Amino acid sequence: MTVLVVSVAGMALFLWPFLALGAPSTGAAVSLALGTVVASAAVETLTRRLDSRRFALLAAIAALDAALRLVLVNGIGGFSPIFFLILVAGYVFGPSFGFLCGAISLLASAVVTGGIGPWLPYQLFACGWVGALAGLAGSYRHGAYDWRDVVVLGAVAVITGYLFGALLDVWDWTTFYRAAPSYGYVAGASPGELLRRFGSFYLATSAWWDSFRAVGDVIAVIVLGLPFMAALGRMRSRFTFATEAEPAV
Amino acid sequence: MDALSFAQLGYAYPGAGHRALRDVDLTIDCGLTLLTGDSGSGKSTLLRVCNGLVPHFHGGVISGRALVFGQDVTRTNTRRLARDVGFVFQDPELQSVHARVERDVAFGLENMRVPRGEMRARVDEALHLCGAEALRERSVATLSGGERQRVALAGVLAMRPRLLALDEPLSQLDESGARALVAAVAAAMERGTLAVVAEHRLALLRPLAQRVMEVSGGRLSDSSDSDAGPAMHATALTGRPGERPSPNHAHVRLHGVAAGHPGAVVLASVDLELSGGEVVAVIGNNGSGKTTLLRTIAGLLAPLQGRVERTAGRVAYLPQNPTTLLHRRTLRSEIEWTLRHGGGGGAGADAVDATLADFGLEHVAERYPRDLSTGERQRAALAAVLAGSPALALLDEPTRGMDATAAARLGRAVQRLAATGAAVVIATHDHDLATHVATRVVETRDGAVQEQTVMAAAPA
Repeated sequence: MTVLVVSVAGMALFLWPFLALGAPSTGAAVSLALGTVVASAAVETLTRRLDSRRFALLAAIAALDAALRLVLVNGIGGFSPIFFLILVAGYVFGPSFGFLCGAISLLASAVVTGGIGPWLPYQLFACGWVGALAGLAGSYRHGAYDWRDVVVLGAVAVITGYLFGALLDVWDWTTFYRAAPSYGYVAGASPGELLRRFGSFYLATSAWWDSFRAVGDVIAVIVLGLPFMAALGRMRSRFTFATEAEPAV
Repeated sequence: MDALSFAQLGYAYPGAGHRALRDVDLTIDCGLTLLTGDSGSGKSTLLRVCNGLVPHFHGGVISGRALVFGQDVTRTNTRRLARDVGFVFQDPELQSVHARVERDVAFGLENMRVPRGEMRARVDEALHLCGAEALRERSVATLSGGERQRVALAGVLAMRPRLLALDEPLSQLDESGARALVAAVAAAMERGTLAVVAEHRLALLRPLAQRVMEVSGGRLSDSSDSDAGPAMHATALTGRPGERPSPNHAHVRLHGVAAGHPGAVVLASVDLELSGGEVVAVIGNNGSGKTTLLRTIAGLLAPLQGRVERTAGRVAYLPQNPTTLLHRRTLRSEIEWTLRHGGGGGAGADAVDATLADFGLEHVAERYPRDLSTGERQRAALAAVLAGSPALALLDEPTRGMDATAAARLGRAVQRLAATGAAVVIATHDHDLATHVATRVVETRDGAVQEQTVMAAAPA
């Protein structure tokens, strides 16, 4: 539910340029992004869905991701080691946790690596959605984790690998590619025309770059997915308890 | 109001096939209640209900009723319960937060927002009760296991809980340390603090106890009148001196070794020789350098001075906190891992099963090792390091948290290992282990290692 509300705000940010309304101002975008992330963390905390233990886990994952990003500041192509933990944590703990995990990991690592700039609000939402999508994919499963979970999460890794890149291109495109003749951003053009231009921009500039991310994340999920799911799953089983009226045998 | 009022309490850990507690009825309104029982019987689980760790921290399924000072455990958060119930864990390592002793003891009070002046007074008093005034300025990392235990208790007493829950508080203390700890508990009780204590070493605590309850298979029964106690331990550990092989080639030699941390030399000058087939017990007070000696022999700690010679072969080292060793997803694969990487012999299912049987761990072979009870974890770690045939085995307090059966099994495993020509060194406070299993006893004292005359092991 929180994720849904947050996502509407994020959608507005990304769709803004396509609706012939021009690029959103940086100040507004930053306030919107930070505001929604903080608000969703607050709502999750107040409703006790994010208790101290989950919060500690969230902080630990964000810190690990910040450290990983520090090790590999520029990544390899579009690949960055930070996505793997976000994917697995989202898959095991659900969309809300996944979203916060993605957004806060990115925020923490941006502070550490000096990656704060007008692109940050777009990154917060895009990375949050990576975790949220993984969370949706993991919502309907139960029992012990096995190879099927690796397949599902691998598929999510591919989709989010490209999706994350495409979403961030919206900022790039509206900011730096205004003058380009056939694929550049033209403020005020019709949504159809803008989509066509964005499509050719994406294929021409980013598709191969994002392939590094998609492939890298899939490899990480295949190699490390199961042990990480098992470890986080073990933790999750401790986070809740059930009460029974009558002791069963 | 009763301190504890449990009725038909049942509990299962997440994913566990069996219940750790069944139909427990327990009311505590005064004095000290002693919980006894084999390792894995549910003592720790029962204690953990008192401060809400079960079920708030561990998850799982709980049934029946559990009231702590009138508060329903399932509906009260652990932060609230922690003010009424002071808990000292079996691993005091789990419980230290700050680097320096004094601040660590004050940590609970800081969280309760006790005014500074009162905080000082309470910290002084708690350190005094625990006989730990001398440790005040020490760094927690340099404390021995027993010292940590006392500091952990001081941290809890400073909060002036209404009920103390102690999980095997004596398991790693020497005789004088254990007496000091029991005295601290007695002093707290004089002020009206109640206590529930799980312990295998009953002799010292029995005089304080109002009641002795036995936990077995998750069920609780009153055993105040029965006299099974410390004597049991001694008879279970009868050694078999006749089977001791003659020492073969020397495995380890220490020449004029000084060891410790720079600035805090623990061992000043040690000459020691160990041969294959020997079982050497290292005794000595808490903090006298037993662990340092073991770590030096293992090569984990470079000597500050002198030389350590060791013939080739696998070194099995059991640290005082065995959990640090366990890293696989099942106990079975833990043992397979040792067998596969340790040279000697294959990692066939037979070899693994034999090791599991040696330590009575068949029933937990497929479990996640870190989810086992402390006693089971200790045996699991032993099985994991002793599998195959190490040339040298160094065991730091291996009987900590063990019941008599497990201690006897360990004794047999050690003797079997020595019979293969391995040298075994055991740092221990366990008198029975030292007299019945060891072929030689040395004592760490005043920075040196002295030979002790072995008492004739009269089979009981």
